[in-house]
Amino acid sequence: MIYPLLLLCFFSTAGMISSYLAIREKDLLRAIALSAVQSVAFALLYAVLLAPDILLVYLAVGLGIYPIILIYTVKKTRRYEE
Amino acid sequence: MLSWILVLYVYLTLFVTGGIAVYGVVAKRNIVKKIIALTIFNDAVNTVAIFIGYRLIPRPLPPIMPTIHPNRQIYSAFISSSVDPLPQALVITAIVIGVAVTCFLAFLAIRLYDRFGTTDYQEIKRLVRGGKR
Amino acid sequence: MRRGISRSSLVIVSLALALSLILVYFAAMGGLGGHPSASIVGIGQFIVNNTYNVFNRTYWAGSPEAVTSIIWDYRGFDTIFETTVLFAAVMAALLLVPGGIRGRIQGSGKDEGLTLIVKTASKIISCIVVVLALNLALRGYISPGGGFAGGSSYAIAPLLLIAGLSVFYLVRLGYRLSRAIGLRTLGLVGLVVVSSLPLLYMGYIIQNQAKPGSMFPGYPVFLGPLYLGGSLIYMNVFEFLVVSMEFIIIFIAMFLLDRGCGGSA
Repeated sequence: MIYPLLLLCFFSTAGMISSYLAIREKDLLRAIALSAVQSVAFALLYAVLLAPDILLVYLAVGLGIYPIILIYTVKKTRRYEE
Repeated sequence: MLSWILVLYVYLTLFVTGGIAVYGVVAKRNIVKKIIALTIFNDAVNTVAIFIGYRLIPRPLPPIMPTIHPNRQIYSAFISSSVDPLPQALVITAIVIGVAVTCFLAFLAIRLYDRFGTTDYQEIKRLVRGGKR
Repeated sequence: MRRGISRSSLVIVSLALALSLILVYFAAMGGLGGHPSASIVGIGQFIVNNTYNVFNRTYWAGSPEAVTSIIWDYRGFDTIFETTVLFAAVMAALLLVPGGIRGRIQGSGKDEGLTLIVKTASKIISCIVVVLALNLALRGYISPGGGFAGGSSYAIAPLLLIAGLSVFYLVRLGYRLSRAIGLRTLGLVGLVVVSSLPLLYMGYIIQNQAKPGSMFPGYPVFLGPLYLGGSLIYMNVFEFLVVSMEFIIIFIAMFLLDRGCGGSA
Protein backbone atom coordinates (compact mmCIF):
# COMPACT_ATOMS: atom_id res chain seq x y z
CA MET A 1 0.00 0.00 0.00
CA ILE A 2 2.93 2.35 0.62
CA TYR A 3 4.81 1.76 -2.60
CA PRO A 4 2.10 2.98 -5.01
CA LEU A 5 1.77 6.10 -2.87
CA LEU A 6 5.51 6.70 -3.00
CA LEU A 7 5.45 6.40 -6.78
CA LEU A 8 2.53 8.84 -6.88
CA CYS A 9 4.47 11.36 -4.79
CA PHE A 10 7.49 11.14 -7.06
CA PHE A 11 5.60 11.56 -10.32
CA SER A 12 3.39 14.37 -9.09
CA THR A 13 6.45 16.26 -7.84
CA ALA A 14 8.09 15.80 -11.26
CA GLY A 15 4.93 17.12 -12.89
CA MET A 16 4.85 20.15 -10.62
CA ILE A 17 8.50 21.06 -11.25
CA SER A 18 8.29 20.66 -15.02
CA SER A 19 5.06 22.68 -15.24
CA TYR A 20 6.66 25.51 -13.24
CA LEU A 21 9.68 25.48 -15.56
CA ALA A 22 7.38 25.46 -18.60
CA ILE A 23 5.44 28.53 -17.49
CA ARG A 24 8.42 30.73 -16.75
CA GLU A 25 10.31 29.90 -19.95
CA LYS A 26 10.69 32.69 -22.50
CA ASP A 27 11.47 30.54 -25.53
CA LEU A 28 8.13 29.10 -26.58
CA LEU A 29 9.53 25.98 -28.27
CA ARG A 30 11.31 25.03 -25.06
CA ALA A 31 8.09 25.68 -23.14
CA ILE A 32 6.25 23.24 -25.42
CA ALA A 33 8.97 20.62 -24.87
CA LEU A 34 8.71 21.06 -21.10
CA SER A 35 4.95 20.73 -21.23
CA ALA A 36 5.49 17.43 -23.05
CA VAL A 37 7.70 16.31 -20.12
CA GLN A 38 4.86 17.26 -17.80
CA SER A 39 2.51 15.15 -19.94
CA VAL A 40 4.81 12.14 -19.53
CA ALA A 41 4.85 12.59 -15.73
CA PHE A 42 1.06 12.77 -15.61
CA ALA A 43 0.69 9.76 -17.90
CA LEU A 44 2.85 7.71 -15.51
CA LEU A 45 0.60 8.99 -12.72
CA TYR A 46 -2.42 7.59 -14.54
CA ALA A 47 -0.65 4.25 -14.91
CA VAL A 48 -0.04 3.98 -11.16
CA LEU A 49 -3.67 4.97 -10.45
CA LEU A 50 -4.86 1.95 -12.51
CA ALA A 51 -6.67 3.85 -15.28
CA PRO A 52 -5.62 2.18 -18.58
CA ASP A 53 -8.35 3.73 -20.72
CA ILE A 54 -7.36 7.26 -19.81
CA LEU A 55 -3.67 6.44 -20.27
CA LEU A 56 -4.20 5.47 -23.92
CA VAL A 57 -6.23 8.59 -24.72
CA TYR A 58 -3.86 10.89 -22.87
CA LEU A 59 -0.70 9.51 -24.50
CA ALA A 60 -2.08 10.13 -27.97
CA VAL A 61 -3.47 13.54 -27.11
CA GLY A 62 -0.87 15.01 -24.79
CA LEU A 63 2.22 13.77 -26.63
CA GLY A 64 0.99 13.83 -30.22
CA ILE A 65 -1.79 16.34 -30.83
CA TYR A 66 -1.00 19.18 -28.42
CA PRO A 67 2.69 19.68 -29.31
CA ILE A 68 1.96 19.53 -33.06
CA ILE A 69 -0.80 22.14 -32.92
CA LEU A 70 1.17 24.40 -30.57
CA ILE A 71 4.39 24.16 -32.61
CA TYR A 72 2.42 25.10 -35.70
CA THR A 73 0.94 28.09 -33.86
CA VAL A 74 4.41 29.20 -32.75
CA LYS A 75 5.66 28.87 -36.32
CA LYS A 76 2.90 31.18 -37.53
CA THR A 77 3.44 33.75 -34.79
CA ARG A 78 6.53 34.74 -32.83
CA ARG A 79 8.92 32.33 -31.22
CA TYR A 80 10.13 34.42 -28.30
CA GLU A 81 7.81 35.94 -25.75
CA GLU A 82 7.74 39.78 -25.66
CA MET B 1 -0.34 7.25 9.40
CA LEU B 2 2.39 7.45 6.79
CA SER B 3 -0.13 6.74 4.02
CA TRP B 4 -2.25 9.64 5.30
CA ILE B 5 0.71 12.04 4.98
CA LEU B 6 1.60 10.77 1.49
CA VAL B 7 -1.99 11.19 0.29
CA LEU B 8 -2.04 14.78 1.55
CA TYR B 9 1.29 15.45 -0.14
CA VAL B 10 -0.08 14.26 -3.49
CA TYR B 11 -3.11 16.53 -3.05
CA LEU B 12 -0.77 19.41 -2.23
CA THR B 13 1.34 18.97 -5.37
CA LEU B 14 -1.74 18.67 -7.57
CA PHE B 15 -3.32 21.83 -6.13
CA VAL B 16 -0.04 23.74 -6.46
CA THR B 17 0.26 22.64 -10.11
CA GLY B 18 -3.26 23.94 -10.70
CA GLY B 19 -2.31 27.19 -8.98
CA ILE B 20 0.79 27.60 -11.15
CA ALA B 21 -1.34 27.03 -14.25
CA VAL B 22 -3.92 29.63 -13.17
CA TYR B 23 -1.07 32.07 -12.55
CA GLY B 24 0.14 31.36 -16.08
CA VAL B 25 -3.27 32.06 -17.59
CA VAL B 26 -3.77 35.30 -15.67
CA ALA B 27 -0.36 36.91 -15.43
CA LYS B 28 1.43 36.04 -18.68
CA ARG B 29 0.84 38.32 -21.65
CA ASN B 30 1.52 35.99 -24.55
CA ILE B 31 -1.45 34.13 -25.97
CA VAL B 32 0.41 30.89 -26.72
CA LYS B 33 1.73 30.78 -23.16
CA LYS B 34 -1.84 31.14 -21.94
CA ILE B 35 -2.90 28.18 -24.06
CA ILE B 36 -0.06 26.04 -22.67
CA ALA B 37 -1.06 26.98 -19.12
CA LEU B 38 -4.67 26.08 -19.86
CA THR B 39 -3.67 22.56 -20.92
CA ILE B 40 -1.67 22.12 -17.71
CA PHE B 41 -4.70 23.22 -15.67
CA ASN B 42 -6.89 20.67 -17.45
CA ASP B 43 -4.45 17.89 -16.61
CA ALA B 44 -4.16 18.80 -12.95
CA VAL B 45 -7.92 18.92 -12.39
CA ASN B 46 -8.48 15.63 -14.20
CA THR B 47 -5.84 13.94 -12.07
CA VAL B 48 -7.50 15.15 -8.86
CA ALA B 49 -10.77 13.60 -10.05
CA ILE B 50 -9.16 10.22 -10.74
CA PHE B 51 -7.23 10.26 -7.49
CA ILE B 52 -10.46 10.63 -5.53
CA GLY B 53 -11.71 7.39 -7.07
CA TYR B 54 -8.66 5.35 -6.12
CA ARG B 55 -9.12 2.54 -3.61
CA LEU B 56 -6.52 2.39 -0.85
CA ILE B 57 -6.35 -1.34 -0.14
CA PRO B 58 -3.30 -3.62 -0.33
CA ARG B 59 -3.99 -4.92 -3.84
CA PRO B 60 -6.38 -2.84 -5.93
CA LEU B 61 -7.43 -3.97 -9.39
CA PRO B 62 -8.23 -1.97 -12.54
CA PRO B 63 -11.94 -1.83 -13.38
CA ILE B 64 -11.74 -4.54 -16.07
CA MET B 65 -12.84 -8.08 -15.48
CA PRO B 66 -10.04 -10.36 -16.69
CA THR B 67 -12.19 -13.07 -18.29
CA ILE B 68 -15.38 -13.49 -20.27
CA HIS B 69 -16.54 -16.62 -18.43
CA PRO B 70 -16.13 -15.80 -14.75
CA ASN B 71 -16.92 -18.05 -11.86
CA ARG B 72 -18.08 -16.88 -8.45
CA GLN B 73 -14.59 -16.48 -7.01
CA ILE B 74 -13.24 -14.23 -9.76
CA TYR B 75 -16.42 -12.21 -9.69
CA SER B 76 -16.36 -11.58 -5.92
CA ALA B 77 -12.65 -10.73 -5.99
CA PHE B 78 -13.37 -8.23 -8.76
CA ILE B 79 -16.23 -6.46 -7.05
CA SER B 80 -14.43 -6.15 -3.74
CA SER B 81 -11.13 -4.69 -4.94
CA SER B 82 -11.61 -2.74 -8.15
CA VAL B 83 -11.16 1.02 -8.33
CA ASP B 84 -13.99 3.36 -9.17
CA PRO B 85 -14.74 3.45 -12.92
CA LEU B 86 -17.08 6.45 -12.85
CA PRO B 87 -14.46 9.27 -12.56
CA GLN B 88 -12.43 7.62 -15.32
CA ALA B 89 -15.34 7.73 -17.76
CA LEU B 90 -16.04 11.39 -16.99
CA VAL B 91 -12.36 12.29 -17.36
CA ILE B 92 -12.17 10.72 -20.84
CA THR B 93 -15.01 13.03 -21.87
CA ALA B 94 -13.25 16.01 -20.31
CA ILE B 95 -9.97 15.27 -22.10
CA VAL B 96 -11.62 15.14 -25.52
CA ILE B 97 -13.53 18.37 -24.90
CA GLY B 98 -10.26 20.01 -23.83
CA VAL B 99 -8.61 18.96 -27.09
CA ALA B 100 -11.44 20.47 -29.12
CA VAL B 101 -11.32 23.80 -27.25
CA THR B 102 -7.52 24.00 -27.48
CA CYS B 103 -7.54 23.43 -31.24
CA PHE B 104 -10.08 26.20 -31.65
CA LEU B 105 -8.03 28.56 -29.46
CA ALA B 106 -4.91 27.86 -31.52
CA PHE B 107 -6.74 28.83 -34.70
CA LEU B 108 -7.95 32.02 -32.99
CA ALA B 109 -4.38 32.87 -31.96
CA ILE B 110 -3.12 32.55 -35.54
CA ARG B 111 -5.93 34.75 -36.84
CA LEU B 112 -5.33 37.36 -34.14
CA TYR B 113 -1.67 37.56 -35.12
CA ASP B 114 -2.58 38.10 -38.76
CA ARG B 115 -5.07 40.82 -37.90
CA PHE B 116 -3.12 42.79 -35.28
CA GLY B 117 0.52 41.86 -35.84
CA THR B 118 1.25 40.95 -32.24
CA THR B 119 0.60 38.14 -29.77
CA ASP B 120 0.67 40.40 -26.75
CA TYR B 121 -2.72 40.52 -25.09
CA GLN B 122 -2.37 44.05 -23.71
CA GLU B 123 -1.30 45.37 -27.12
CA ILE B 124 -4.33 43.78 -28.75
CA LYS B 125 -6.65 45.31 -26.18
CA ARG B 126 -5.13 48.72 -26.83
CA LEU B 127 -5.39 48.36 -30.60
CA VAL B 128 -9.01 47.20 -30.43
CA ARG B 129 -9.97 50.30 -28.48
CA GLY B 130 -8.63 52.48 -31.25
CA GLY B 131 -5.00 53.08 -30.45
CA LYS B 132 -2.34 53.55 -33.06
CA ARG B 133 -0.47 50.53 -34.36
CA MET C 1 12.06 43.56 -17.91
CA ARG C 2 12.50 43.97 -14.21
CA ARG C 3 15.09 41.72 -12.65
CA GLY C 4 14.75 40.30 -9.20
CA ILE C 5 11.67 39.53 -7.17
CA SER C 6 9.28 42.44 -6.74
CA ARG C 7 7.13 42.84 -3.68
CA SER C 8 3.82 42.32 -5.44
CA SER C 9 4.88 38.95 -6.88
CA LEU C 10 5.99 37.84 -3.39
CA VAL C 11 2.55 38.76 -2.07
CA ILE C 12 0.84 36.85 -4.87
CA VAL C 13 2.99 33.74 -4.39
CA SER C 14 2.45 33.65 -0.63
CA LEU C 15 -1.32 34.13 -1.07
CA ALA C 16 -1.42 31.28 -3.59
CA LEU C 17 0.57 29.01 -1.27
CA ALA C 18 -1.70 29.86 1.65
CA LEU C 19 -4.74 29.09 -0.49
CA SER C 20 -3.26 25.71 -1.50
CA LEU C 21 -2.60 24.84 2.14
CA ILE C 22 -6.16 25.77 3.11
CA LEU C 23 -7.49 23.54 0.30
CA VAL C 24 -5.32 20.65 1.47
CA TYR C 25 -6.64 21.13 5.02
CA PHE C 26 -10.20 20.93 3.72
CA ALA C 27 -9.31 17.77 1.81
CA ALA C 28 -7.74 16.29 4.95
CA MET C 29 -10.89 16.92 6.97
CA GLY C 30 -12.97 14.94 4.50
CA GLY C 31 -14.05 17.62 2.03
CA LEU C 32 -13.31 15.53 -1.05
CA GLY C 33 -15.15 12.53 0.36
CA GLY C 34 -12.56 11.13 2.72
CA HIS C 35 -9.05 10.39 1.57
CA PRO C 36 -8.95 7.56 -0.94
CA SER C 37 -10.77 5.14 1.28
CA ALA C 38 -11.14 1.39 1.31
CA SER C 39 -14.59 1.50 -0.28
CA ILE C 40 -15.95 3.35 -3.29
CA VAL C 41 -19.15 5.34 -3.66
CA GLY C 42 -22.52 3.70 -4.15
CA ILE C 43 -22.93 4.40 -7.83
CA GLY C 44 -19.46 3.10 -8.62
CA GLN C 45 -20.11 -0.05 -6.63
CA PHE C 46 -23.44 -0.57 -8.42
CA ILE C 47 -21.79 -0.27 -11.82
CA VAL C 48 -18.91 -2.59 -10.90
CA ASN C 49 -21.41 -5.16 -9.56
CA ASN C 50 -23.62 -5.07 -12.63
CA THR C 51 -21.40 -4.49 -15.61
CA TYR C 52 -20.78 -8.16 -16.30
CA ASN C 53 -23.10 -9.89 -13.87
CA VAL C 54 -23.79 -13.20 -15.65
CA PHE C 55 -25.63 -14.51 -12.59
CA ASN C 56 -28.32 -11.81 -12.49
CA ARG C 57 -28.88 -10.16 -15.83
CA THR C 58 -31.35 -7.48 -14.85
CA TYR C 59 -29.08 -4.47 -15.16
CA TRP C 60 -26.07 -5.88 -16.91
CA ALA C 61 -24.27 -4.20 -19.79
CA GLY C 62 -22.73 -7.20 -21.54
CA SER C 63 -19.10 -6.10 -21.40
CA PRO C 64 -16.42 -6.89 -18.82
CA GLU C 65 -14.98 -3.42 -19.21
CA ALA C 66 -16.63 -1.05 -16.78
CA VAL C 67 -15.40 2.21 -18.29
CA THR C 68 -16.67 1.49 -21.82
CA SER C 69 -20.03 0.36 -20.49
CA ILE C 70 -20.33 3.59 -18.53
CA ILE C 71 -19.45 5.71 -21.56
CA TRP C 72 -21.85 4.06 -23.98
CA ASP C 73 -24.54 2.42 -21.89
CA TYR C 74 -25.03 3.82 -18.40
CA ARG C 75 -24.17 7.42 -19.29
CA GLY C 76 -24.65 7.41 -23.02
CA PHE C 77 -26.15 10.91 -23.21
CA ASP C 78 -22.92 12.47 -21.90
CA THR C 79 -21.01 10.94 -24.77
CA ILE C 80 -23.56 12.02 -27.36
CA PHE C 81 -23.33 15.62 -26.19
CA GLU C 82 -19.56 15.46 -26.03
CA THR C 83 -19.49 14.35 -29.66
CA THR C 84 -21.67 17.38 -30.39
CA VAL C 85 -19.17 19.68 -28.64
CA LEU C 86 -16.31 18.23 -30.68
CA PHE C 87 -18.32 18.70 -33.85
CA ALA C 88 -19.13 22.34 -33.00
CA ALA C 89 -15.51 23.17 -32.15
CA VAL C 90 -14.23 21.79 -35.46
CA MET C 91 -16.97 23.66 -37.33
CA ALA C 92 -15.97 26.91 -35.63
CA ALA C 93 -12.31 26.32 -36.45
CA LEU C 94 -13.21 25.74 -40.11
CA LEU C 95 -15.13 29.02 -40.19
CA LEU C 96 -11.99 30.90 -39.21
CA VAL C 97 -10.06 30.04 -42.37
CA PRO C 98 -9.86 33.18 -44.50
CA GLY C 99 -11.30 32.83 -47.96
CA GLY C 100 -13.33 29.74 -47.28
CA ILE C 101 -12.41 26.08 -47.41
CA ARG C 102 -13.04 25.45 -51.07
CA GLY C 103 -10.15 24.89 -53.33
CA ARG C 104 -7.54 22.30 -53.92
CA ILE C 105 -4.14 21.90 -52.36
CA GLN C 106 -1.78 22.46 -55.26
CA GLY C 107 1.44 20.62 -55.16
CA SER C 108 4.59 20.25 -57.18
CA GLY C 109 5.12 16.96 -58.91
CA LYS C 110 8.53 16.06 -57.57
CA ASP C 111 9.14 14.11 -54.43
CA GLU C 112 9.70 16.39 -51.47
CA GLY C 113 10.84 15.49 -48.00
CA LEU C 114 13.95 14.42 -46.20
CA THR C 115 16.44 11.65 -46.87
CA LEU C 116 15.55 8.13 -47.98
CA ILE C 117 15.99 6.59 -44.53
CA VAL C 118 13.58 9.06 -42.93
CA LYS C 119 11.01 8.56 -45.66
CA THR C 120 11.05 4.77 -45.45
CA ALA C 121 10.95 4.79 -41.67
CA SER C 122 8.00 7.21 -41.68
CA LYS C 123 6.03 4.98 -44.02
CA ILE C 124 6.65 1.83 -42.01
CA ILE C 125 5.90 3.40 -38.63
CA SER C 126 2.72 5.08 -39.84
CA CYS C 127 1.42 1.71 -41.06
CA ILE C 128 2.12 0.22 -37.63
CA VAL C 129 0.31 3.12 -35.96
CA VAL C 130 -2.76 2.61 -38.16
CA VAL C 131 -2.95 -1.09 -37.25
CA LEU C 132 -2.60 -0.23 -33.56
CA ALA C 133 -5.39 2.34 -33.78
CA LEU C 134 -7.76 -0.13 -35.45
CA ASN C 135 -6.95 -2.70 -32.77
CA LEU C 136 -7.73 -0.23 -30.00
CA ALA C 137 -11.01 0.80 -31.59
CA LEU C 138 -12.36 -2.65 -32.42
CA ARG C 139 -11.47 -4.27 -29.10
CA GLY C 140 -12.78 -1.46 -26.96
CA TYR C 141 -15.35 -3.62 -25.24
CA ILE C 142 -12.93 -6.32 -24.04
CA SER C 143 -9.68 -4.51 -23.32
CA PRO C 144 -8.80 -0.89 -22.60
CA GLY C 145 -9.23 1.38 -25.58
CA GLY C 146 -12.39 2.32 -27.34
CA GLY C 147 -13.38 4.91 -29.88
CA PHE C 148 -11.52 7.89 -28.40
CA ALA C 149 -8.19 6.14 -27.89
CA GLY C 150 -8.37 4.61 -31.38
CA GLY C 151 -9.30 7.88 -33.08
CA SER C 152 -6.60 9.89 -31.33
CA SER C 153 -3.95 7.27 -32.09
CA TYR C 154 -5.03 7.11 -35.72
CA ALA C 155 -4.41 10.84 -36.10
CA ILE C 156 -0.68 10.34 -35.38
CA ALA C 157 -0.16 8.46 -38.66
CA PRO C 158 -0.80 11.36 -41.10
CA LEU C 159 1.31 13.59 -38.86
CA LEU C 160 4.27 11.28 -39.31
CA LEU C 161 3.76 11.35 -43.05
CA ILE C 162 3.58 15.15 -43.06
CA ALA C 163 6.77 15.38 -41.04
CA GLY C 164 8.80 12.80 -42.95
CA LEU C 165 7.43 13.40 -46.39
CA SER C 166 5.40 16.47 -47.27
CA VAL C 167 1.70 17.22 -47.10
CA PHE C 168 1.41 16.71 -50.85
CA TYR C 169 2.16 13.04 -50.27
CA LEU C 170 -1.01 12.90 -48.19
CA VAL C 171 -2.93 14.50 -51.04
CA ARG C 172 -1.54 11.91 -53.42
CA LEU C 173 -2.62 9.15 -51.01
CA GLY C 174 -6.16 10.42 -51.26
CA TYR C 175 -6.79 12.60 -48.18
CA ARG C 176 -9.22 15.32 -49.15
CA LEU C 177 -11.30 17.64 -47.01
CA SER C 178 -14.55 16.57 -48.67
CA ARG C 179 -13.84 12.88 -48.08
CA ALA C 180 -12.97 13.48 -44.43
CA ILE C 181 -16.18 15.43 -43.88
CA GLY C 182 -18.16 12.69 -45.62
CA LEU C 183 -16.68 9.92 -43.47
CA ARG C 184 -17.33 11.95 -40.33
CA THR C 185 -20.97 12.39 -41.34
CA LEU C 186 -21.18 8.63 -41.91
CA GLY C 187 -19.91 8.05 -38.39
CA LEU C 188 -22.41 10.47 -36.88
CA VAL C 189 -25.31 8.92 -38.80
CA GLY C 190 -24.23 5.49 -37.58
CA LEU C 191 -24.24 6.70 -33.97
CA VAL C 192 -27.77 8.08 -34.40
CA VAL C 193 -29.02 4.87 -36.03
CA VAL C 194 -27.59 2.57 -33.35
CA SER C 195 -29.01 4.77 -30.58
CA SER C 196 -32.50 5.06 -32.09
CA LEU C 197 -33.03 1.47 -33.23
CA PRO C 198 -34.61 0.40 -29.90
CA LEU C 199 -37.32 3.02 -30.45
CA LEU C 200 -38.82 0.82 -33.17
CA TYR C 201 -39.50 -1.83 -30.52
CA MET C 202 -40.94 0.60 -27.95
CA GLY C 203 -37.67 0.59 -26.04
CA TYR C 204 -35.53 3.33 -24.59
CA ILE C 205 -33.11 5.44 -26.55
CA ILE C 206 -29.44 4.33 -26.29
CA GLN C 207 -30.51 1.00 -24.91
CA ASN C 208 -27.99 -1.82 -24.87
CA GLN C 209 -29.48 -4.88 -23.22
CA ALA C 210 -32.99 -5.87 -22.20
CA LYS C 211 -34.34 -3.71 -19.41
CA PRO C 212 -37.52 -4.13 -17.36
CA GLY C 213 -40.18 -1.97 -18.93
CA SER C 214 -39.17 -2.13 -22.59
CA MET C 215 -39.83 -4.71 -25.28
CA PHE C 216 -36.48 -4.43 -27.05
CA PRO C 217 -34.60 -7.74 -26.61
CA GLY C 218 -31.17 -6.12 -26.66
CA TYR C 219 -28.25 -6.25 -29.02
CA PRO C 220 -26.68 -9.74 -29.26
CA VAL C 221 -23.87 -10.45 -26.83
CA PHE C 222 -22.87 -13.96 -27.86
CA LEU C 223 -23.38 -14.91 -31.50
CA GLY C 224 -22.42 -18.56 -31.61
CA PRO C 225 -18.73 -18.73 -30.78
CA LEU C 226 -18.26 -15.00 -31.37
CA TYR C 227 -18.36 -12.54 -28.53
CA LEU C 228 -19.88 -9.23 -29.57
CA GLY C 229 -20.47 -6.80 -26.77
CA GLY C 230 -24.03 -5.73 -27.34
CA SER C 231 -24.20 -2.31 -28.96
CA LEU C 232 -20.76 -1.26 -27.67
CA ILE C 233 -18.81 -2.58 -30.65
CA TYR C 234 -20.85 -0.60 -33.16
CA MET C 235 -20.66 2.57 -31.08
CA ASN C 236 -16.89 2.21 -30.78
CA VAL C 237 -16.39 1.81 -34.53
CA PHE C 238 -18.55 4.82 -35.40
CA GLU C 239 -16.92 6.97 -32.73
CA PHE C 240 -13.51 5.96 -34.10
CA LEU C 241 -14.59 7.23 -37.53
CA VAL C 242 -15.85 10.51 -36.09
CA VAL C 243 -12.83 11.32 -33.92
CA SER C 244 -10.15 10.34 -36.43
CA MET C 245 -11.78 12.27 -39.25
CA GLU C 246 -12.19 15.35 -37.06
CA PHE C 247 -8.45 15.44 -36.42
CA ILE C 248 -7.73 14.97 -40.14
CA ILE C 249 -10.05 17.92 -40.87
CA ILE C 250 -8.14 20.08 -38.40
CA PHE C 251 -4.79 19.23 -39.96
CA ILE C 252 -5.96 19.90 -43.51
CA ALA C 253 -7.60 23.17 -42.40
CA MET C 254 -4.30 24.22 -40.81
CA PHE C 255 -2.64 23.80 -44.17
CA LEU C 256 -5.38 25.81 -45.88
CA LEU C 257 -4.83 28.49 -43.23
CA ASP C 258 -1.19 28.52 -44.21
CA ARG C 259 -1.98 29.09 -47.84
CA GLY C 260 -4.61 31.74 -47.22
CA CYS C 261 -2.47 33.91 -45.01
CA GLY C 262 0.13 34.58 -47.62
CA GLY C 263 2.60 31.76 -47.19
CA SER C 264 4.73 30.73 -44.28
CA ALA C 265 6.15 33.22 -41.82
